[in-house]
Amino acid sequence: MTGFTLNGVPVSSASHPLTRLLDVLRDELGDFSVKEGCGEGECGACAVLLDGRLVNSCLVPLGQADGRAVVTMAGLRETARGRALVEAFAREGAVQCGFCTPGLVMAAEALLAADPAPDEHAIRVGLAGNLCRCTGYETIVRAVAAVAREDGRGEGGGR
Amino acid sequence: MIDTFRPSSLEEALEIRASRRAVPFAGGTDLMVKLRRGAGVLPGFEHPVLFLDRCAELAVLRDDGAALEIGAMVTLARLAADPLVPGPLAEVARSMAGPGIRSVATVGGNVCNASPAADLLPFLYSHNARVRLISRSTRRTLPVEEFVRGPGATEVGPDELLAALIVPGWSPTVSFWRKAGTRRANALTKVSLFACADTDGAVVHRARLALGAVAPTVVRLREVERMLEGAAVADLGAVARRALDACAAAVRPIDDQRSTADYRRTAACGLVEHFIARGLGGRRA
Repeated sequence: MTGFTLNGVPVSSASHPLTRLLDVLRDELGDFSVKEGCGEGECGACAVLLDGRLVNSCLVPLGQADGRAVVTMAGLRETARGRALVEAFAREGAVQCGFCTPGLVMAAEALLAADPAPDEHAIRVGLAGNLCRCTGYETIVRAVAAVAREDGRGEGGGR
Repeated sequence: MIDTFRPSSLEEALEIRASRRAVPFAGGTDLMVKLRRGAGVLPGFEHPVLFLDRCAELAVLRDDGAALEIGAMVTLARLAADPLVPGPLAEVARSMAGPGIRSVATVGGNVCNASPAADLLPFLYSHNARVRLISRSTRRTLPVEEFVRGPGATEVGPDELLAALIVPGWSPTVSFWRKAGTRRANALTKVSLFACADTDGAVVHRARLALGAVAPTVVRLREVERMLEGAAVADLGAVARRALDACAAAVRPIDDQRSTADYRRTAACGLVEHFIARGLGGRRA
C-alpha cells in the first residue's frame, strides 16, 4: 500500500509501485486536472509538484511518491498564487485549447516559488519543459510575468 | 508481478542488488520512457526494481580540495545550482532536458544509461573523471572512459552500484560547451563538444576535447589535444586546419532518428573550429 498526500489530503493506493503516478491520480483518485500528453516527459502536460519539486507524473512510479506530498492544479487553484495564475492566464489570453494549461501553471508555480521575481529569460527557462501548440507562448510568458509583478507588489515593491 | 524495493540505506540497497539482481532505478527519466507501454499499463520492467531515492549516502556532494565527489543520486537540478559545482559543469546541467526532468534525473543515471549523447559524459571525459563502484564486499574506481563500453553498456557488475563520480579539481582558463539539438530545451543531443584549456593568451598549455553523439561512445580528441598543447595562439590558424582533419578522422557518426552522419561530422568539426577560433583566440584559418 502506498500513501501520500494529494493537495494536502492523505490518500492511498493499492496499485503496483511501478504504476505511473499519472494513472493513479487520474484513474484512481479522479484528479482530471492532470493531463496526459506525450507520456514520455517531453510535453509537461502531466506536471505536478512532488514535495514542492516540479515533476512529470508520467515518469514517476507510484512507489516513489510514498510518504510524499503531491500538489496538482486542482489543489493549486485553491491557493492565492494559484488563483492569481489562473486569472492572469485568462486575462492575457494564455489559454486556447487548454490542454497544456495545468502543466504550465504548475511549472509557473514551481518557478515563482523558487524565484518570486523572474525576468523574461528566467520565465522562458522555467517553462521550457512544457509544450503548447496553440498560443505561441507569448501570452503565457506575459501571464506569468504579470503574476510575478503582482507578487512583487504584494511583498512591498518587488526587486 | 515485479518486486520493487525502496531501501533507506546503501547497505540495504547493496544487499538487495546482490541477492535479487535488481535493476537500479535512479531518477527513472530514461527507464520510464524506454519501458513505457502507454496509459493505464505498467511499464515493462522484467526484473526486480531497486529505487535508490532514499539512500542518502548516494546523494553526497563534496569537495575535499583535490577532487569533487558527486553522488550518483545528485539530481541535475542540484548540479545546476549547488555552489560547489564548477561553473562549466553547472552550465552543462542547465542545458539538459527541462525543469521537470532535471528535478529528478540524476548524475548516476545519465552516466549508467551510457548513451553516446549523454550530456554529462563529454565534461567528465575531458576532466579524466572516475567512477566509484561498490558492492557489499568490494570498492573500486575506474576512469569514466573505461567504465562506458558502448551504447547502454557499462562495466558495472551484477552486484555493484555506481556510488559516485570523482572529478579531479581543475579550473581551466577556458571552457566551452555546445550541444546541437532541435531546440534549446528538452531536446536530445545531435552532436556536442565539451572543450577546455589552460592558456596564458600567448601559448596553449593544456587542452582537452570530448565530442558527444559522434560514435558509439563519447570521443576524446587526443590527437587534436596534442596539436594544441604547446602551440602559440598566433599559430592556431594553421593548427586548426590539421585539427579539423584529425577530428573528421576520429569520429564515426551514424544516421538515426535525430540526425545524419554527414551533419554530425560537419557539425563536430565546426564546433572544434569554433572552440579554437573563439575559445582559444586563434584567428580563422
